[in-house]
Amino acid sequence: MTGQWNWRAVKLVSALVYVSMFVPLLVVVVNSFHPQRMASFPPSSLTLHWYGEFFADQMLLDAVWMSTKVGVATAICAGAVGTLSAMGFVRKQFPVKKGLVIVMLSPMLVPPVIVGLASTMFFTELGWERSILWLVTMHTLIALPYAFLIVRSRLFLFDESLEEAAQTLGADHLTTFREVTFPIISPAILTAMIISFVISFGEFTATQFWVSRETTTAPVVIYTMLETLITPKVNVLATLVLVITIAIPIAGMALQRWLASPTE
Amino acid sequence: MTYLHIDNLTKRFGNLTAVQDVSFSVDEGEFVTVVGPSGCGKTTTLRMIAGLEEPTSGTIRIDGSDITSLPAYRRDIGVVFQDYALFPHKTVFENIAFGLKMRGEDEQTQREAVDEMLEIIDLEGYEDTYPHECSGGEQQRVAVARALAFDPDLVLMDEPLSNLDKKLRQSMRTELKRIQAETGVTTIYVTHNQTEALSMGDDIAVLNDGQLQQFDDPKRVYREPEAPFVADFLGQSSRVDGVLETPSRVDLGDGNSVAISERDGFTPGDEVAVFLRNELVSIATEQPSTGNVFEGIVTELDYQGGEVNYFVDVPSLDISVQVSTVVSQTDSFLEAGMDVWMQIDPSDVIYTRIDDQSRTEVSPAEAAVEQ
Repeated sequence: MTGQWNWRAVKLVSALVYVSMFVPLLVVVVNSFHPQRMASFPPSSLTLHWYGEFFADQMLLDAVWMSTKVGVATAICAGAVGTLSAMGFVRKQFPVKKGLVIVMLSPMLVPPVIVGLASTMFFTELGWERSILWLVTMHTLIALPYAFLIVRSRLFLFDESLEEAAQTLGADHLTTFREVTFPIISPAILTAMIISFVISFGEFTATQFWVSRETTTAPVVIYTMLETLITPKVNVLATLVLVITIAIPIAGMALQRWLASPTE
Repeated sequence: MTYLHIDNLTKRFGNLTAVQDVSFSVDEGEFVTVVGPSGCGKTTTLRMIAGLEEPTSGTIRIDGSDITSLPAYRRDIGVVFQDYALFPHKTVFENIAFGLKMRGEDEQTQREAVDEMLEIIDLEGYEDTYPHECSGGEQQRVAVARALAFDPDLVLMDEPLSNLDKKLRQSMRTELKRIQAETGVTTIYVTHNQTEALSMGDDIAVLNDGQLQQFDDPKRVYREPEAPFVADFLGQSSRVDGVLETPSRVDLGDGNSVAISERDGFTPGDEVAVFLRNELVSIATEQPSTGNVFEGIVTELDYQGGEVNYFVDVPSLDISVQVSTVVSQTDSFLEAGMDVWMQIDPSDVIYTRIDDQSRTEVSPAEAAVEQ
């Protein structure tokens, strides 16, 4: 009996956690259709007015486009570097390997505000101007530990006799990677890329140090808009950011299922 | 004609010597089994031949040319792995054709070779299935086909049957021999299973502790083992140590002795290990008139249907001898506690010289027990 009550309590608490997570998101989405500038909740009617305004605002569109570009580039860079470093850490033996793993993971451990501040001071000292390249570099650094961990855990499970089999059949190291290793670990690499994209797309705390007028990203714009001019367009932007960060992983999972189908 | 030549092959991992000075040669078209307990170096030897492990010293030659320093992908040696190592993301066709594709063969050639292999392994129509859709026995055959399809110089098999259940293992044993005979490819087959080694090999290499104990045809290895380890590992027997008194008699101490048949290379005074094979010892309640006769007491019997194993204490030799006897429907059984006579022909007694290494040897019987 108590077991059943405990189980109900667990369910109730879980439900409360999810409600408190999703209701605020829902408010933002609903308010993006709100007819009044000063939103009262719930709205009396719904309108697409602010969407029209949003898509007429070049500055906002540029920010979303910038975030998308940086996110895609980060996904590619973190995916590639994460895969290569995971291969090295799993397959090769070298001194101070354990210590270097902590170095690899450190961007995950250092508070983003410190990463933002420190890198800005450093790059400024070097005379590097804020640019999209700067953003991609730093976002890759922030996403890299996640990409690394995801690919590494897949490689731990990888049966190396498959690679040996390929070699005895005449495949050199590069061909073995292309024909055997890569196709088998590609779902993990894809996951790493999706996570990297989502991290990059939503990163705000450190990113605010790195953007210039030309390279401002969606999360930074949302913050700036709230500080300066209160316009419901910010709800539209927030909704859009939300939709993209949910849609990309779902699309990724679908792609993954399709990729993995023969081996299931 | 010698085809594969292995010369003083040695592999050390740090302080551990996995394989030490192993040398043997294999003729073209021959099927050689390499047998030994786990950790004896048999898999390491195989991996060195395949090019997956670099030897510390020694050479490997195929058909006269030294391949010791060639990487695996330039060797033309097919390998069947213990866990098959089929590519999970490739179809049966793509798996079998992989070796040909790597050699730049066109679609047509690949198709013909795969068709031929599928016919040999009796899996026609499996081209488009994936490995996970095949049963264990089918995966095993695909792995064999993949190793054979590109017409390799040599095929190596690393305990390929150990993941199959006993019945399937039996039939795959025959199947593998048939495929080998059909393709005529020189094959080296690693196993820890003595029955498999004896029944499949044209020749057997017995390894222990990284050293080659004997390389011979199965009958000689079984009948005239050159080291106590070989006698002990292959078959079930009881061991008594003694000293050769005359060329045809071994003194076992305490006034006991056993008659043996004379063999070259032994001189009186040699320390020898005498082995009484379970199946060559007969047991009776009346004293037999010929051969070596020992008195004993039955301590236990192990009924296995078609045969019975008796455990008999022999107080005079201070050993316990196991005797396997075939029983017919009407035979009566001996019982524990009964006094019995055991008899073995001098020509059935197996003996080997004891060298320094094998004096302190522990019984490998546990490792030899069929899984």
